[in-house]
Amino acid sequence: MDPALQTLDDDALMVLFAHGDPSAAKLLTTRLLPRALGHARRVLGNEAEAEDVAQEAMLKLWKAAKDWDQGGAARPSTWLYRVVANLCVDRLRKSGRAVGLDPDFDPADDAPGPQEMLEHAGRMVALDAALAQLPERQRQAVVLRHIEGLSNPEIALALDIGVEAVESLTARGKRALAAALQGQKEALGYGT
Amino acid sequence: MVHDGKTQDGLEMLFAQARSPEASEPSPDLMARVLADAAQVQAELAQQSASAPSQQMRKDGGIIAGVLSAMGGWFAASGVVAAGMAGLVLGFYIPDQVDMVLNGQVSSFIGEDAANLLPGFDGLMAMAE
Repeated sequence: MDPALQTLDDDALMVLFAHGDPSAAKLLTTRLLPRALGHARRVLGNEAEAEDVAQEAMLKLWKAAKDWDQGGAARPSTWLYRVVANLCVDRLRKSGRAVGLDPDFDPADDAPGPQEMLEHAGRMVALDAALAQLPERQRQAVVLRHIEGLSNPEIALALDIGVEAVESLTARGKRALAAALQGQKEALGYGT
Repeated sequence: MVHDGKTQDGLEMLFAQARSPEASEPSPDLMARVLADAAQVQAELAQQSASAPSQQMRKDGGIIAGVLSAMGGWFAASGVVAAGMAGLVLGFYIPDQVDMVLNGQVSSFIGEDAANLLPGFDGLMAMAE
């Protein structure tokens, strides 16, 4: 691949893509697909569904390239996060998992909580289990902020909410996660 | 509810692990599917462009507008036109006619600066418009 191409930002690559450049397609996929997949994985908690959402989101991105506004407010990555967020919400609502468990909800005795899963699985599974207990909006905000590394204004664009709402969601979400994982020494890396 | 510092640190460590490239690495199969979708969309865009060149040309003002635009507009094009017109004039004035115009002073003509036979630049600009 032409080294000069790799110095271009995603906006410029979108324009090149629309003009048929296959290297632009490959570079955009390399840069953006992991983000879409990571976001979907954490929100949906299901690998197969996450792959479907990531592929569908990338397809929407390809189709948007011909009308892409290079000087527009949203970068391709932010635009993609918004598409993934919306696709995840659709899937969760269809399967009845949109709300997630209330942080104060006590799971049924026979339902495995984060502590039980921790005994049989690794740290990421414990994190995913804790994330699954969050309401969907908090889950999205926490994933985008603390895992995908977006700024609050970028999250606001992706979720189509105000910046103050983002701050509230991420703070509450992080508190809920900490509550769910408190005392899990092995999961949190400071066990004996 | 009190969340001790170790819990917060541990949570940050979990987040850091989740951020690692390996945590969100797409499978080769998924990569291939996404790239196949990309190629399909690009093929469709190319087909749309190939089937609409005449509309694009009319939209831009025609072939001449496109050529002039490539040359840098009328101002730049006029130099080319001037050079072309000069060649036309030189070719048009055959020696006998020149001799007649100059009252037989062919020898004088031979020594004449050929540029004097050329219409002035202003005249060419007027002709080019």
